[in-house]
Amino acid sequence: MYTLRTTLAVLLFALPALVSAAQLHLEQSSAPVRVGDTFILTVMLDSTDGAVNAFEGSLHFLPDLTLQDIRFSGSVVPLWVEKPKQKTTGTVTFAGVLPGGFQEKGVLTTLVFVANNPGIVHISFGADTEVYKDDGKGTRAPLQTTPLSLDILPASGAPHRVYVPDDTTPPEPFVPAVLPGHAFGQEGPVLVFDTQDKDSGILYFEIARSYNPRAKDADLSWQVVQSPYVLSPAQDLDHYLFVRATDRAQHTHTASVPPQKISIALLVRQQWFVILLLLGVIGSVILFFRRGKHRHESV
Amino acid sequence: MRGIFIGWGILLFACSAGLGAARVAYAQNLRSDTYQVFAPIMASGGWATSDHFSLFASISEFAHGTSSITSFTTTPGFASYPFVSTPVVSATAGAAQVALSWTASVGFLGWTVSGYDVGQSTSSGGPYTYSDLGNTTSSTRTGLTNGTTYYFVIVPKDTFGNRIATSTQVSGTPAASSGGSSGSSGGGGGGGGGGGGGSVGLTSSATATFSGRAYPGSTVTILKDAQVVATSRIGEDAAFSTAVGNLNGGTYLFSIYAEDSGGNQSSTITVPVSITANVNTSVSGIFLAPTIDVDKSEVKRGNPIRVFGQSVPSSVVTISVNSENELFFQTPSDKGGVYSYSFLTASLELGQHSTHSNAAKSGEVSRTSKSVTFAVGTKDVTKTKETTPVSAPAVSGDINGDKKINIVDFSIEAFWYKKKNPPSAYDLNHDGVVNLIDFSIMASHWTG
Repeated sequence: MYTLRTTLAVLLFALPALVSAAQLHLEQSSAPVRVGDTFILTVMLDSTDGAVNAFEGSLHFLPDLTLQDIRFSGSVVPLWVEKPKQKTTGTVTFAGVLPGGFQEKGVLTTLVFVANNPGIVHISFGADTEVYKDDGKGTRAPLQTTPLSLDILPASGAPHRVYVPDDTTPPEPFVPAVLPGHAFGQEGPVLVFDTQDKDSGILYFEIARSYNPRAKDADLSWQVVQSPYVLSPAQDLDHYLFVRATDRAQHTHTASVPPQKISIALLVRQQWFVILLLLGVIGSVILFFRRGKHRHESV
Repeated sequence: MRGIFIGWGILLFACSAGLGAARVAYAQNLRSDTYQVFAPIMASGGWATSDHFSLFASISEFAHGTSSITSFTTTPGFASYPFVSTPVVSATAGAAQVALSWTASVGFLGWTVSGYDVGQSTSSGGPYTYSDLGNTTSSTRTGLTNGTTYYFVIVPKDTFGNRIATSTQVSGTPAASSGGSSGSSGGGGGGGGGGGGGSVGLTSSATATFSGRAYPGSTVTILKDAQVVATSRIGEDAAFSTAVGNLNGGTYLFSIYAEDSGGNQSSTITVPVSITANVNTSVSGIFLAPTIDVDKSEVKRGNPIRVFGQSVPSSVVTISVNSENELFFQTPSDKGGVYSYSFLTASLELGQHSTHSNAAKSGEVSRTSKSVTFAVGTKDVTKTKETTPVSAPAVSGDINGDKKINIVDFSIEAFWYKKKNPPSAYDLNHDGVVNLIDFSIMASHWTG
């Protein structure tokens, strides 16, 4: 039996055809821009129509603009496969991952430009720009990229400088890991590490070695390295390894890895081992004399 | 009595642009190069027109479903359950203000969220004073009195301004100096995490507290920027409230998922949270989607298949089955949050199908679960964990075989990015190169 509950229902519509697509676009910090001014463009991802988990691509701009800086303030990207960088003049490339999926609007990265010449300049995403669905198959998501056209005005007065907040935070805590080298095409073990800085970005990583787990940064000999770092079986494995991340504001965070093997050289430098050794020697001496005394009394 | 609507409604369209006169159209005529009908909601007459197109009468409900130019599908009658997920809301108190941000509310089966209201009150539970925020996912409420606790709800609205969901209430207590904030109520607890080592010259101690609903006996895991920072064992009430401390200022991507007692993992809720140094933030209203599984990897056409999983106790679980015509079923979860629903597969075509679910309770709606697949074929094949090794490295990205997909696997994969002749185990989709597709596959199975 069919029941007609409602006979008239006035319905909607005439909305523009909407395509469920992720969107990449640029947001400009200030307008107008004059020759000599610095200004900020924020690269935005909007994936509210469907979760995505990876993106890659490029941004292109003419020599009328000079890329002065790349910042990470407000970025929602936890893992960069390829950090944004100016690969060639006028081209910034990037590739990142959003584990677990991202169905929101968020900042990917921030670019600081200086305007060189008056006129219209175009900043556009390259044809290689892709966003991938969070579907477990690596499916390309429908993508809408929106270029930006800027009308650069002739210089007038002192150039405008954008306010870039000071980097007030150190690099994020991280845990280096020693892994078998075969995963990286190496025979020996390797040390892998990575972290991010929420403001200016990581400038470099350094490694240092010590038998002292509480060694101070200033007492160590640091060497700039990249991950993965191939460990020397003779030099590295019986040491505490310290990895120091430094951001572009010279803030640092240091993480450590315990020795991967025990050596005499390591043991004799450990307080607990020396104390244990001394206790053992003292105990042995006491035992020796007690036994000697007991034997003497028996005789 | 619940009515059943059948047949296609006769629709009258008045096309003011071009045609200049009304004409009768049938459902099959809904395709257009310019328009789509994607949210057939019973509504009053004032909402039925536009500059170009109007639909002003129907003699019956015609269909729920999503329809677009490229993909035109509908589900007849009231047998479907359009819904919007309720937002997860973050609240950070400051001097005379509370900063709110929330996850976008996601509409399904025809509902589209087009804006938000914020409800504000100094009494828990309201009544609230509402303000229109537009289509945004953040708002700072200013002009507040320091020392007074304010309560907020975020209310998604449809295209016509109808309020179609309400978030969990969050609160904030502005303070003259930074450092004060509120937490939402909730049981349980957990611990924060962090790496070893230390930072030079800078200290901060911001905390983010996450609260919401999971399932009795489940384990909730919280990831900060893709790495595990807290896990909590969930009690019988399914509520959780977990604090993550030692945060610097900045934007963090937090991810939350649960694993039920059967080892099935929920879909992940990802929340970008902007942390201010030395200020605490509460993130409330996290309603984890149900876990889901099926009892057969292949079912003989016509035989029953059982869909089951775990959700919040005494919730209403809606199960969706993808087929030529999408099927919907509703079933309650029991006191333990367990739900189970068997249906006959006679109406399903031969071939692969998938199913997913979502849960609703007390006016809040979860996002959708993961999808699980099954085949409709010529025989019944019982599904076991062994027959569906979802964690197989070649499928999921568990490259080092530690049953986790985390930063270690990412590091290995990143080393081989765009390099020639990568080991086949790292080339997850076997296209001869490690590229973003492999990272996307890995990210989809991420455990942290």
